[in-house]
Amino acid sequence: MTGRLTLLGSSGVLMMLLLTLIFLWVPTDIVLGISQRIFYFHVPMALVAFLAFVVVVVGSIGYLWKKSERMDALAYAAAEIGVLFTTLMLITGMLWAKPVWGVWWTWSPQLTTSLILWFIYTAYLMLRSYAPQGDQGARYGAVMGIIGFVDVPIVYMAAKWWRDVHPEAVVGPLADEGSLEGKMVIAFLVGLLAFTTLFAYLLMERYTLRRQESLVERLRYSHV
Amino acid sequence: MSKRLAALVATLILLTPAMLGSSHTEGEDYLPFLFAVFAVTWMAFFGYAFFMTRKQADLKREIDILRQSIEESEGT
Repeated sequence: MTGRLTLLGSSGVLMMLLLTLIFLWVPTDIVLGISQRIFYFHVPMALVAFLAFVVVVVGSIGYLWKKSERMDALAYAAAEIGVLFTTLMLITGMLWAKPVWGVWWTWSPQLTTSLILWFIYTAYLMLRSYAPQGDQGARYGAVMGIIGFVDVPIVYMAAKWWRDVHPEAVVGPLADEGSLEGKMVIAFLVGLLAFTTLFAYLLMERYTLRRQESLVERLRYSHV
Repeated sequence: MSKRLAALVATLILLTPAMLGSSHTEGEDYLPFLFAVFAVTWMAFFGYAFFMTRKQADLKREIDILRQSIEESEGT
């Protein structure tokens, strides 16, 4: 419990620091103006969504390998939070696109593959809701969780493979050196840390809740 | 009620730097979009936390019902 509160507290402090950096410290981008400040939320949330789907894959493989209910609960919790982060990535992306591109949405490869990612893991959650309880549903979910992950590297590589309006990656292995100014990199890293700690906190909470749900479900069936 | 108030206060605190920063920046046409990004993000996270709290309360209620029902069946 103390660990969770520490995570939540750290996340809150980092968020305040991030907001202060975004509005009072980082320089305004010459080309994009203040709309570029959306970057410090949009990109870290996208990366944390990817991280969530990595956890889904780890949990799913763990479940298929060891038939561990804990791994299944981990995969489910990560998928739900991953969908939340992907939804926010899409919404913040649209709110950035409107002032910069003049449209809320365009069917550019990176946007389209991101939307497909959202559909895949929303479908995963729906499958888990409607599939039979117990081993069968968990097995279907695990297979879908693993196969769905194929889209994650495609989203990341999309701007490189198919040049379009969406800018290329400015962070990670595909980024060009010096594509971000020093202060911008610091603010971005603080943002990444803030959202990662928030993700860790939410994951722990949702994981515990999922375990309790399974327990109640089992008790209900054993009693009836 | 107090949780909602706490969420509202927390949202306002988190949006304060946005409001402070707004007087120092250029391109005021973009401000509503920037404000919307932060508002949507915080609302989504608080909404999700609220959803988890509700789910937790539902589970607790269900556990109480199950416990009561087990006790009754053991008593008969």
